[in-house]
Amino acid sequence: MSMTPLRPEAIPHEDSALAAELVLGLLSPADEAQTRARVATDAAFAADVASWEDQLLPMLDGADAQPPAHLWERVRAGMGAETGQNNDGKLRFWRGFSMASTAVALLLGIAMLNQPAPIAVTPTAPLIAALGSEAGAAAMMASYDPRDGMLMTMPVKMDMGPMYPELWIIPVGGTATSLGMIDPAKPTRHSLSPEHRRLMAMGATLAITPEPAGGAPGGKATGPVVASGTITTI
Amino acid sequence: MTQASPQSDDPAAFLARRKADDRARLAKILESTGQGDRSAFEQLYAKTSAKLFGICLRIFPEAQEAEDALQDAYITIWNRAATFDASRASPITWLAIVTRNRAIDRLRARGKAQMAPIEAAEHIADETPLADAQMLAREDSAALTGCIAALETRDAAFIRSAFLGGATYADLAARDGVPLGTVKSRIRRALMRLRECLSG
Repeated sequence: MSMTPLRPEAIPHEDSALAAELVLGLLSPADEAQTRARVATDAAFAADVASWEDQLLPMLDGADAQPPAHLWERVRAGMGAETGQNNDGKLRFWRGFSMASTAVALLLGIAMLNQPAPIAVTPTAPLIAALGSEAGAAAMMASYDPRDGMLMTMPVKMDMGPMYPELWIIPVGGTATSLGMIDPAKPTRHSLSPEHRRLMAMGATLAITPEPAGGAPGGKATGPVVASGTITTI
Repeated sequence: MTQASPQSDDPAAFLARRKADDRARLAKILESTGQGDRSAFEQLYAKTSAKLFGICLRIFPEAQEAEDALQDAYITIWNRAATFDASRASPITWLAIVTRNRAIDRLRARGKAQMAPIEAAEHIADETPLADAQMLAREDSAALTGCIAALETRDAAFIRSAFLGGATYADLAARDGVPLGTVKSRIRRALMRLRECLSG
């Protein structure tokens, strides 16, 4: 098959199973967030994910079917609405953000190679996270000041359908804890509890899932992770 | 597949070349879409909507829901096209995965993770020949179908429930009333067998 990139031999079996689990959507929101963060920082792993996507693709294929003619009009109407908000400036900002998050990911990749253990950060350095995903519907920047425990969320794009965005913190090897609902439309400041401040200081992943109004019932995420990113020092 | 000289009359080489040309053309249209080119997006829609609608119909057999999912997918594609990287992904794979992921998001947002009946697993790919063979080599599909059929029926059904029904490990464990760890190790073993079969 000339189209499928050769699977890198360096990928251990266990990692390749994880790549397949990510593509198939088997993982819990917390595991998915961590695995997506890894796609952004580990090129060999990302290539294995792409290879699984290519190989599993035939499973998605049904018989081709012509959609009704009016559907293009609906798509175009949807584009129009988007273009209203996405004027050139905003579009440029979004593309810049994409590149910025790649740059952050590259930096992180280096940091992770040098420090396989959880990143211990100094208690006073400001922290930042770029949340996004390859095919997801949401992107957000977050910054955190350990001196006053204030977390600032800055949404770039929040396409939640009928649901509401809930922010989660996932410590390395730990389970997701809710940081609460976030405003999908404008930058907002949140004061974190002492427990959440401790988690932030340990180095972790932030993730967003779509949840019903008022938040996930029982404090357990029900929606898929639509954006995630690792917390790092600036 | 071996590299053929441009003059070769070998039909396999001819098909491979045509496939590579189609891929390059589609990648270009997708890249132009990413630069905000509306006519490129319209072309993209004309070239790919039948295929992507086929995917939506696999996930939502009901036509109205499939149409909503397709609309959703194309608006996501329009907004995300700038993140497509031709050096990292095939354009049709990228489009199909975006469509699948958006459709599964919709399914899950309604609390509707679908479980494939065990017996459905035997027919992973439709027997219907692909209308547009240029989009996807038929032999890839046959290889996957064969490798999935070689798995235990239950494992094949699990894989299908995840990819097409949005079921997570937790959903699968709950349905079967077995511990999460049991389902995980079982599917991981199946995935490794699948990987070996596909690369063989």
